[in-house]
Amino acid sequence: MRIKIILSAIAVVFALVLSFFYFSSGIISNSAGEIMVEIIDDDGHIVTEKTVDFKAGDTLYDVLDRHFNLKVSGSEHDTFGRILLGIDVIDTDFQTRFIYIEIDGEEARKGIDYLPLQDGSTYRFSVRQPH
Amino acid sequence: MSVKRMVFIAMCTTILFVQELFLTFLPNIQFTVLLLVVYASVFSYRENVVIIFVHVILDNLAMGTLNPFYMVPMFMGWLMIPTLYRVLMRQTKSELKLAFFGILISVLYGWMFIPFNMLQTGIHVFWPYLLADIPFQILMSISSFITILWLFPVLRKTLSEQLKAHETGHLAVSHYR
Repeated sequence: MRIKIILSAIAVVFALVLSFFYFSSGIISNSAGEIMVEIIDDDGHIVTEKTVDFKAGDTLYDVLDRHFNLKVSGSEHDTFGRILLGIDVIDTDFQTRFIYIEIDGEEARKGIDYLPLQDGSTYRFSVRQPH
Repeated sequence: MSVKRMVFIAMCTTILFVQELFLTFLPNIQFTVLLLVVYASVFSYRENVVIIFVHVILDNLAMGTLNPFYMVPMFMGWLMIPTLYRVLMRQTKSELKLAFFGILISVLYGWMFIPFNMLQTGIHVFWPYLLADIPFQILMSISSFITILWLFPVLRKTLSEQLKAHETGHLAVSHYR
């Protein structure tokens, strides 16, 4: 019985630590703020440049969904989250063209559901073709 | 297989399906691994295949993922439980060994989806899938570990007694200590 309690306690502590890192990773905002959203069309022209605000508890997806017309594939419950296929006037199929996301000029390395929501940051969405 | 046993297996499949649907809002927190380990210890391999097959069909119907990219790895992933329970775990009843077996299953189950995700997305780089899946595998491992550690003995005993009682027609009262 004692070994079961010890092992369970270790597992619970591990789960709590993991949860802490998950919630402090910035995916869910702790406070209100605003972000700049830039949308670039196929020709490389900025078609939308808009500052949008968010509140505590929002995710990047929540904010974008509130202010833009989004087209996504999959569900937030999928392992890799949703795939952003279209935002505002840009539309992709993910096979021949995909949406390239940059945060403050840095390439986003995760899907739209796992990107941090950072106050004052610029999120740029442009169309790219796979190499 | 008797009709009574078949009905019992159908009820167990229902429990498996309903608990998974009920816990969908919690990512990878589930009793599925626990229940399949319990079923693997009580039912025959063939009966387990039937339970898993029906569960995979129902689960994907309910979740709107009725396509081979989800169904095939899910079926293969869950089928590892009765298979490895017999081959690797030698049908052990030790909840401690089975709790660690739950961790192994949780990791292997996640890996099973990677080649199918690569096919579906057309992005044939392995490591991003592996890295993205790690938090979910940890959550699934922890929930499998704790549930098997605490609930396997009592559930296995209860299920065995109820199955016996169901087949013989006598009411069973569990006296688990």
